[in-house]
Amino acid sequence: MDNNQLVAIEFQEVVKKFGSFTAIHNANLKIHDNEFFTLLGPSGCGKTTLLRMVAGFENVTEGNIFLFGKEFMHLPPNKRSVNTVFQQYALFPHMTVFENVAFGLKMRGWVKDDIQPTVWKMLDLVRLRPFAERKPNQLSGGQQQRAALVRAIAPRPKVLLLDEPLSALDLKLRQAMRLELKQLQQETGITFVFVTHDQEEALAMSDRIAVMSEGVIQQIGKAQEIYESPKNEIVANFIGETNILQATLVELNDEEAKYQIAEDFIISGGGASGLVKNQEVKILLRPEKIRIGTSDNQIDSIPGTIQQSMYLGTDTEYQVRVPGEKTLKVRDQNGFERRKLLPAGSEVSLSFSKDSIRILRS
Amino acid sequence: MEPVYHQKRAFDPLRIWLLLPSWVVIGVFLLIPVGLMLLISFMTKEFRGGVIWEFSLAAYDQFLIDRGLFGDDPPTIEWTYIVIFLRSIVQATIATIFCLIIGFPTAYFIATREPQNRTFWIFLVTVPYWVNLLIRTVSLKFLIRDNGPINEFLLSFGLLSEPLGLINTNIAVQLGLFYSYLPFMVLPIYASVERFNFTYSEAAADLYADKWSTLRRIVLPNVVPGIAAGCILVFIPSLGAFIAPDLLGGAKNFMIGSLIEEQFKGNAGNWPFGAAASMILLTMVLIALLFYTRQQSKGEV
Repeated sequence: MDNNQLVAIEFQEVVKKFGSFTAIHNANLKIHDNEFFTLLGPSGCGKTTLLRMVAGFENVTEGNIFLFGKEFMHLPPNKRSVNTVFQQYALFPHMTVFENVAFGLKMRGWVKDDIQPTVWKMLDLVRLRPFAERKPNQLSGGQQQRAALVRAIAPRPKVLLLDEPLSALDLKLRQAMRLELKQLQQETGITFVFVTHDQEEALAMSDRIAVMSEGVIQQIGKAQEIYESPKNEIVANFIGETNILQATLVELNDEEAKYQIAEDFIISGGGASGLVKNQEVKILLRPEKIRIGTSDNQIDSIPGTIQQSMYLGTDTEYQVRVPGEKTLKVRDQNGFERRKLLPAGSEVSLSFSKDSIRILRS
Repeated sequence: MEPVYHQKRAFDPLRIWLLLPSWVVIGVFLLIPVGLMLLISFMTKEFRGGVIWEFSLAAYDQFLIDRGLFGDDPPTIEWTYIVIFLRSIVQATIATIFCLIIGFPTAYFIATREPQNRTFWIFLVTVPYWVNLLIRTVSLKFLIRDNGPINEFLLSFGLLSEPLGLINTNIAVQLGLFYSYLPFMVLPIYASVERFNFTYSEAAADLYADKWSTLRRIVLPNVVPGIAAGCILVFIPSLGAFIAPDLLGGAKNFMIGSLIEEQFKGNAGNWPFGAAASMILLTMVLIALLFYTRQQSKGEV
């Protein structure tokens, strides 16, 4: 991580309690300027609470939050130069789209001659000029979403907070909006803090992601880091699918380690630094990292029997029975080579590269 | 708005039976009494109350036109009753404004409590209604009269050198109307504030609006229906009120309600005249309501 970058928001040992319930446990987090940062986690993990503390709708029980190095927790929401895109948009129902977008500027004390061109520019940015005189309930979901977005961007906040803004849209629209959001962030250069429970959204848009679970920030990193090298089982399980195998380290030398999963099921891999022999570990293996073949004469391959196959369009998912009464999930891409669907009962051999397995200490 | 298509329904005798109760209620409690009043207002008065069933415009003539003591002067406008009427409108308007000033913050306060506590506050607002209006007004009279507890208290502590002299003034009538009808203002406003989505307030605060701007620009426009309903519910009964003006206002502060009440009391009354005054009051109220609904439907488009 580049430490020279300007920090937009910094959480220092932030604790949030609701009565006896602790919603946030000692959160430490630095969000950089111009960054598209995502807080990812299942519902109830505290990600929205973090956002609402920045916006000023919740106070901090312990610790502190800084905006560009300055303390701002004592300020009411209307004195903070951060804006929020609400989950249900919260567009003012009695105002037109134009009035909604102009509202923040008006409240900031802009004069009419400055408000007008800015609002039109904002509406053009999201192609809402023809709908300026409509009321929010006369817009489609996607249009409401875009109106809420520019309403929050118009006053040029230092940080834009987005609270699951895409969750009310249908799939196609959601995918289109992802692209639009990312573009908007790059065009405006505003720091985006995006809250979502949708891992695909997070991976697709974010510069960096913080994975949260039960009020704890589990891991912070780039999309690839989070996906390829999850720090723990929670992260591995939440982001994408993964096979988790209980194993014992049985052989260890400089380059290689061997892990025994069952009596006749030993795999070799790297990542053994700091481990000792006979240590219990967990092996993480992504389903798409496993190659499935029909010939069993490959080195290091594992024999298996297909229990179930599921055709998913872009790929096929197999449940493969391997030695030690274990079942592995394997994803086989239906790509360039047209492959035949392997029926249940087929004998196969599984192989994977050493780099693709990830070792966690139990 | 989507167009509404009226389908032609097959004749169904059951529908008539199902609708009958509401027709009966509307007929017995609304159409027949009002029709009767209208009829009586055009009849000739009987001197000991009651009517002679003979067509006459005398009641309306008495209300509107002054023909002198012996009825032979050139006709001019009769101001006595119009002044009473105007006084009633002014009194009702002031009572409505006071109820709004006190009622809105009250309703807002209740609607923003924790949901489980709201019932308690609403209960407190409605408690006085368990006591008869007449009794409550008499109690108020005892409270504010010159040798009542309020004056006694203030005098004994030397805060006043003589009694406030509230009783038999317009202010006393105001107090009575305000006290009688405040809950009618609080309850509809409460209902609409409770339905208000406070995420809008959060959004407004997020967009740099202070508390006052949020209230004025976001909350108020969204709870206007409740405020309007409250104003109507206070204004209309205040306009026709007779208990508060009778007991607290004395003879100088006569209101239209008292005037009508007098015409039907004992043997001294004049039924057609009372009915005519009622009809004129009803017409005024209906015109005001019509005007209001016009405004409402204009606002929605």
